[in-house]
Amino acid sequence: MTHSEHAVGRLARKLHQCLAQEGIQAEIEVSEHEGTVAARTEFDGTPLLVVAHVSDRELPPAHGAQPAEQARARLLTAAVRPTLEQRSASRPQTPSRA
Amino acid sequence: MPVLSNYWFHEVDFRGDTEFLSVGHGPGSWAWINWSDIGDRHSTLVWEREDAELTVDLVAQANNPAVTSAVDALLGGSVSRTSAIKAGWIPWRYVPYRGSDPSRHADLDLLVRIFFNFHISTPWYCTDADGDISYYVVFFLDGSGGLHASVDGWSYHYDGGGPFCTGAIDDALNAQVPAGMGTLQDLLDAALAAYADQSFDLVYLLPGGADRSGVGNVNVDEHVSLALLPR
Repeated sequence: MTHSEHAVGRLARKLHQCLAQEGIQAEIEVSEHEGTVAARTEFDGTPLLVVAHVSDRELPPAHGAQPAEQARARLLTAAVRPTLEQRSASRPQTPSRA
Repeated sequence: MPVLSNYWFHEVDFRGDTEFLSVGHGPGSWAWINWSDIGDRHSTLVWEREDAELTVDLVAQANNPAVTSAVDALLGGSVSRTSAIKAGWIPWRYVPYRGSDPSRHADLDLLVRIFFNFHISTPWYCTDADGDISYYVVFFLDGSGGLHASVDGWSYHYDGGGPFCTGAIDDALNAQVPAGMGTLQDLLDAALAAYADQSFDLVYLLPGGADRSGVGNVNVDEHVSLALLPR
């Protein structure tokens, strides 16, 4: 367990205990980077939603690529591929006028 | 008889909604097109298509049951596919991860973006997430004219998951989506094995189903065909 995971989980569980002491039975979910404590309850006849969220995460990128060395190795054998750039072909081309 | 296909695109750099028209013409004669009002179009392409051209509709191939069941198995229980699998072209300059290695391809090299929509259900205190998962594939011929494909990268995008569930959604997607590259590569290698004893002079992409006659409309971001000239 990392220090961060420990802190997130401990804080989420404390929040859960605080709500329990008030008689609120909350759901708790704890993962490596997040803890969520959530309950639907009623206070003096008023319906309430209680949600507490603990997180240490930074937003990860939503994309990725094959490692550059692997991609280049695989494409090293490429002689022809679809492009809208000036095209090359593996067979002789007829001369074109500029 | 050779066919001249003309494509008009709504976006610059040959993207988006696409009108097309194909006309056959005899050798030594004009291929001509009259189109009185092509509308709001910002780029165009023309291709002279030989009789020997072979075409493969990539959307049809991507939606055969062997592929869709492999994709669904890859997603696992938390992510559900909510659309057919789409396969459009995307110039390299518009690929989301281009910035991490810009010189990997030329700006207008065409990758095939294979993608689908997904839905993720969340606990009651969050909104559900809806988005798309994409893989980017390069088709190419080697020096002997053999046909290959390489899965180049991945991306995802979604809306929803707020206010507290985006982290868990990102965790699930960052685990499952990159892992799909290997599965997709295996599927492509298996599909291209059918062409292993053939060699080709040229590989290129055509919008839509690669129709050889008549007019039509397609979104080239979502539907292209692979075209091959046998050696």
